[in-house]
Amino acid sequence: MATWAPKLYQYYAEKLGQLYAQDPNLTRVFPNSIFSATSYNLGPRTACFKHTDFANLPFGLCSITALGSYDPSKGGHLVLWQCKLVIEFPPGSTILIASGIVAHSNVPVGKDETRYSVAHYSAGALFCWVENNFRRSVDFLAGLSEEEALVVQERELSRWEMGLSLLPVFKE
Amino acid sequence: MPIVDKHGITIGILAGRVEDAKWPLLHLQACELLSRHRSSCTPRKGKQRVHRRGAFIALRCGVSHGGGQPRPQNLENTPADARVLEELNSHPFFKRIAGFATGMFSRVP
Repeated sequence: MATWAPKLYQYYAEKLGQLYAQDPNLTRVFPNSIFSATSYNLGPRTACFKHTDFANLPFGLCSITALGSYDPSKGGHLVLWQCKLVIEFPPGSTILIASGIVAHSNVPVGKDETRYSVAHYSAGALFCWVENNFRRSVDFLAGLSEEEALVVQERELSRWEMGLSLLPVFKE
Repeated sequence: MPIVDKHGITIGILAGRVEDAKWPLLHLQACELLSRHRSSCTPRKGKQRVHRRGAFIALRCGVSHGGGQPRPQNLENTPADARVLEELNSHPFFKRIAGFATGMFSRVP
């Protein structure tokens, strides 16, 4: 079986699994989903401004699905700014992107056309909450001994490396 | 198909669409729901009308944390928005998309 992001998926499954197990009040809207939140964009001609979803896990992926009645060769393209990519995005199709670090926007559709979208994502703060033993960072850090603080500091300094190591690498 | 940076690190995946003869019909039904329910949502004012991401109604649900929440919580909605969300969340198009995106995240069959 070919895999895209199995290590990242495992990280999501483990941390979010702990989150839901620890607090039974939290509900899964879609039990078949690895994502914790969903956003429906009701248009009628949804065109996102250029933005970066800073609240998402920086090394995570979100899912975006486009819907509507539009000509994908003329509008509705997804623009990934740092990548200098403009991607045709036909209605009914899905893309996964690192929306927390890549600025993205949409090309508008025509005035007689419609475009909606649905996005699935998991806030980065959820993962921090679990890693901080189910506390806010400020409370977690306040409760640490000096030795523990050093261990946590080490973990935080190498967190970007840990995150990158979860993303698959393709070499030519 | 993966989108990679110059180091070969994946920063996106073009996942395609659900392969199912019923998909075009489900897509049409989902569009109809979204179109019809725009006016069922609680009217937006000021910064909610035109927000950071654009000028459209955005309905959110699920679990989030940050933005002043002391702990992870279920996102809250007005009764009108919650009714719309219930209908959207139970439609097969959106249920399938959640599973499809999850499957693409973890594997390609």
